[in-house]
Amino acid sequence: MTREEVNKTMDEVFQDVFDDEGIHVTESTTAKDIADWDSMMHVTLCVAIERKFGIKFNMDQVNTMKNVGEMMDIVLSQVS
Amino acid sequence: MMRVHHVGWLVKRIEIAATDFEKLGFSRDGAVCRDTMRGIDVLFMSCAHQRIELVSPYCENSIVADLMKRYKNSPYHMCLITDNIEQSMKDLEKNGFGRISDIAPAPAIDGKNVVFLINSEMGMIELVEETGDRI
Repeated sequence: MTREEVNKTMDEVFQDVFDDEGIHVTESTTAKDIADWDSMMHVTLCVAIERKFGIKFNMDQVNTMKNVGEMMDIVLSQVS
Repeated sequence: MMRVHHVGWLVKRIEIAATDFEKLGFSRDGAVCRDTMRGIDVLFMSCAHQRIELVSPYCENSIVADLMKRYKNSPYHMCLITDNIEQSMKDLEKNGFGRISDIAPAPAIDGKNVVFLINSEMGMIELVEETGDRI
């Protein structure tokens, strides 16, 4: 899976979780860029990403990832 | 298989909501309990062996303040009984649930340990550790 493919799938997950088809994430997207991305939605997002990609974040990763790029790094490290 | 302990119900004004639930046949299980650790007032009510937990934020930094803005007055979680909260939590974390709180005692449920988890397809659940026959 390429980084571009992960980014595209990540878009779909974000749109589904936040119920907003207008969301398009980039490497630098953070919680400040998306309304409703609070701590609870962050966990929701992480479990949705885990389910979509068939991967598993550990607790430390969930708590320390700073932007979508870091999410993509973790996804790619487990799918490729 | 875990049993349902209660359904959590967000309400803005707990006394008025309780009075309205009484009109539906619910009875108060006790008095309103203030959970200072979570910034909430809690009242359990029952009707025909079904239990609800009215939860109302009483301060701006309440743990449910943001939920109240998002969901308004509405049911928002289901609480399930487990006899081993640590193990049940670990099992669920391996199966599509993410933990959104630490295991901690809930003053409104006799100080029993509870933990909250969330699932991207079904929302929030709570686990309460309870041993014996009491539900």
